[in-house]
Amino acid sequence: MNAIELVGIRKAFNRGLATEVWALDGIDVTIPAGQVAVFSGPSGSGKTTLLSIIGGMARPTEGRVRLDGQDVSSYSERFLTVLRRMRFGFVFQDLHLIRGLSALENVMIPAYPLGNDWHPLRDRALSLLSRLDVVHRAATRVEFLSGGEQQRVAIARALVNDPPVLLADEPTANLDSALTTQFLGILESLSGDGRTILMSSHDPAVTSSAVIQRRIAMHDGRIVEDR
Amino acid sequence: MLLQPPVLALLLMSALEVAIALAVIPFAVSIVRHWDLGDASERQVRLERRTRLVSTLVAFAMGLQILTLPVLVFTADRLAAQLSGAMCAVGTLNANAYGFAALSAQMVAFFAAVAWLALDAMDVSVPTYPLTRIKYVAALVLAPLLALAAGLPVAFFAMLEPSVITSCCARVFASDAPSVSGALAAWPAGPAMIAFYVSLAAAVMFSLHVATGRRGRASAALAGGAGLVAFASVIAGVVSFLAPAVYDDVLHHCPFCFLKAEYHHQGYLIYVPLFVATANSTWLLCASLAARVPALEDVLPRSQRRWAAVAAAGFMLVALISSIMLARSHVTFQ
Amino acid sequence: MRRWLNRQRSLADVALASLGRRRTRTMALLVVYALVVSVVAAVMLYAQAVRREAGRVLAQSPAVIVQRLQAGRFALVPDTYAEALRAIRGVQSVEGRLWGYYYDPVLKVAVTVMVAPEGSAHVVQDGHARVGPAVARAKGLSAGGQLLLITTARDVLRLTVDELLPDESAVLTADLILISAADFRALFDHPAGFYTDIALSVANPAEHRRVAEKVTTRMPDTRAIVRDDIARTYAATFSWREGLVLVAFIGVLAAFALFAFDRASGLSADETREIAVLKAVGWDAGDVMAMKAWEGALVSAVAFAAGYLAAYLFVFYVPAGPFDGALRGWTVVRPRIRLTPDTDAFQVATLFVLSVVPYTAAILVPVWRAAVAEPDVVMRG
Repeated sequence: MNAIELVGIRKAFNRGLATEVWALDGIDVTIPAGQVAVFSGPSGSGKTTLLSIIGGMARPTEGRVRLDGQDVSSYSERFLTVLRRMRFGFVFQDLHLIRGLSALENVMIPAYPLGNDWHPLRDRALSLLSRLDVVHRAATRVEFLSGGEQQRVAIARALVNDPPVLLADEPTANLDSALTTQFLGILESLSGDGRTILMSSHDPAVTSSAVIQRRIAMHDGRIVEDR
Repeated sequence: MLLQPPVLALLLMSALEVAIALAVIPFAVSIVRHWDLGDASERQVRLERRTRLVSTLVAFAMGLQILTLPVLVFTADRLAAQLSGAMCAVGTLNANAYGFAALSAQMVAFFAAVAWLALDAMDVSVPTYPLTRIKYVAALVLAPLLALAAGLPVAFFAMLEPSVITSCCARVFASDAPSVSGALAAWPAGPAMIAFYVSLAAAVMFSLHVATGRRGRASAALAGGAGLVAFASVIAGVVSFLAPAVYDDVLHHCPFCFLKAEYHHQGYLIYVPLFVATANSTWLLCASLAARVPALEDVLPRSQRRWAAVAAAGFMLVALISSIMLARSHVTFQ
Repeated sequence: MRRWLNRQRSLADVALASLGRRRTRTMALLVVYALVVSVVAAVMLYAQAVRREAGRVLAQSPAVIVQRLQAGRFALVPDTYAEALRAIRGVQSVEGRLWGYYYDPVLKVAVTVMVAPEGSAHVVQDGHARVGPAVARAKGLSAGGQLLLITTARDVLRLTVDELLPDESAVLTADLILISAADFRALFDHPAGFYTDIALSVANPAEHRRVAEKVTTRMPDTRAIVRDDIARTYAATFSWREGLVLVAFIGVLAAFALFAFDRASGLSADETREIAVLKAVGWDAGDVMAMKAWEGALVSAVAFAAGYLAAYLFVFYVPAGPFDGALRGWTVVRPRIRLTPDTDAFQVATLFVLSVVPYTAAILVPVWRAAVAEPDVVMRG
């Protein structure tokens, strides 16, 4: 089954202005379900933009996005959101946890609009936190957590709706080498669940890791290498 | 008589409703002209975002109408003290041609807004947004209606002359008064009661039918239609026999007095479930119209069942409460 | 239904946390909001209480008052009229009244001088008087003191003050002096055999107007004033004044709406980021709007309750508030009354429409704008 299929994706910013740039310039790639892949390349090569488009957070200027064979390119925002909520979990480069809320609340937040019962939801969030070894910090406000703890909370948040695809943008950019190793360990365990994992990274520790099954190198909005 | 606080409150709500109507029209026009889901352009994205605002505005307008109805009736009641001949809201509303027109227009606008929101809910329940164009054509009808409903109370209060001698509810709803209200009051309690209970029973049964299974368009239309008929016959029944029963006075037919504290606000027990049930009937009717859109086949039956269940419950409640009111009354009807 | 409730509960939770995180901002908004509510509420509570007070006073006043007119002017009524009035069907009792206005040269204000009706508890003996609280205050009188009045003939009328009239009925009695009929006639050189006017009591309220009509037909030189007509005028006047004061506050309301609009549109960088994060992790614009609606509802509920309570305490427990002048009238011997607390659901609803509705309307568009913001800014960092 072809999980994610991108056909002729192009994305322009500041279209029609003098500053017009094409962040993506003809991307064709198919990512089968369950694969762990990384998009690598220098900053400005379009990795992050590509992840946004895959995750339904941005629309391509041209081209089609298919999920499990279904064309979602012209979905309205409302349904892109529904899709994003059910299919994708995001770990952002800056983590973007919500300050002032506890780790547990941060993990539960993506599930709030679904209106599920509170207790089962909390139990699921706690079990994710315990799987990621931060359950002892569940009641702590996120701004008091260490960088590594914050990242694990962010991963738990990405997983709370049990999405089949996990997207991570430069996940190790703010981690030291010990934490990077720890992160790769988490990745391995998640991939064992059968989840598709897509990352952008230019960290050699990640791109050369044995967990990665596929490495896609990008430059100036195009794919230059795929192995 | 514009410078009185409740009137100012009504004027404020009217102004907001007109503002909403005016804001909706250009949105609706641009959506009818340019809506194209297949287009990923900036304009389409902008249009889609705007639809969220329009839905919110219409919902807000509906909220305003829910507030306007009781405030209008109670303002009229309060003003009765300042008009010769008026003893309650009916007298005031009757003081010029715009009073009852304003009240009816508000009710019509309320149910129209309710219906529009039903269209909206059905439309956005499917990724293809199958009703968007129809919905915004409907918005172009709804907007002037909102403006009219907003304008009538203003006209009513602006024209209200304290020197004009009006009639109290005992006159307006007296059985020999030559008017619709008089005719309703003159309607003998027997037939009115039969119509009341039969129409309620029909509405409950048809709604239950839709609520308990996967039914087609005809059933939904029947349930919705029966609901609207029940609404009318309940209003008629209130004037004909229920109000006199509550007041223990065969000559007192006023449909508003029993909202007041003197009668322990009993009127709300009838009107709130009645309006809730009728709103759901309106939705059923809309659903039966929308059912011909194939994209809605999967989602409609579920909403339809929920609406039908609420409608059935509401009408049952109306029947139950009015029966209790009748049983507690000392009035005997021929 | 359960799903819906769960969702609302979670959204309210997030809204509450979000308000708590921006404590200073929230407090500023709450204070301004509550202030606006309390100002509008104070006007309404005050006017309603005064209206009720006037109503209570009127309830004790005669059903029909008959005055005599001569050449279009008010004239004294001969006591023979009283007999003729007694003959009208429906009239229960007839009472000739003596009252007038006395201009006090020291206070430079007119006070009401009246003879208590026969048989009432306030009948005063010759040479004695009872005075209302405002008069007593202004002239420094207490029970047992001496009240000096200058008669029309420039003589001095010396009266001993029996007692002060009670405070409870201050609206009615504040500027009142009760004296005996003989003293009254001496004070104003009022001819014997004439009354100021005649009060009728009529048993059946439905007949008030009919009796009044009969009076004017039988005695064409009189006019009959029906109590209900006075009540109507009072109600209209007080409501009109209340409305006038509120119109003066329309500027305040508009400024408040503008303030709310500004608050809601000028989201901090933090808040913008938060909304983008929520949208990125799967919240729909509708979810964000619902959450913002909860914020608005929570703020409104607290501000409304606080503002209303403040107004209530201010109007009913702080004497002589600032609205006295505008709402009650202008006089030196103003009654110092403690108003009886009086509210109803309708008044609360009106207040709600005049405060919460403008707030909601003001934040609608900014909330929508915030909710439809692009989520992918969180990716761009």
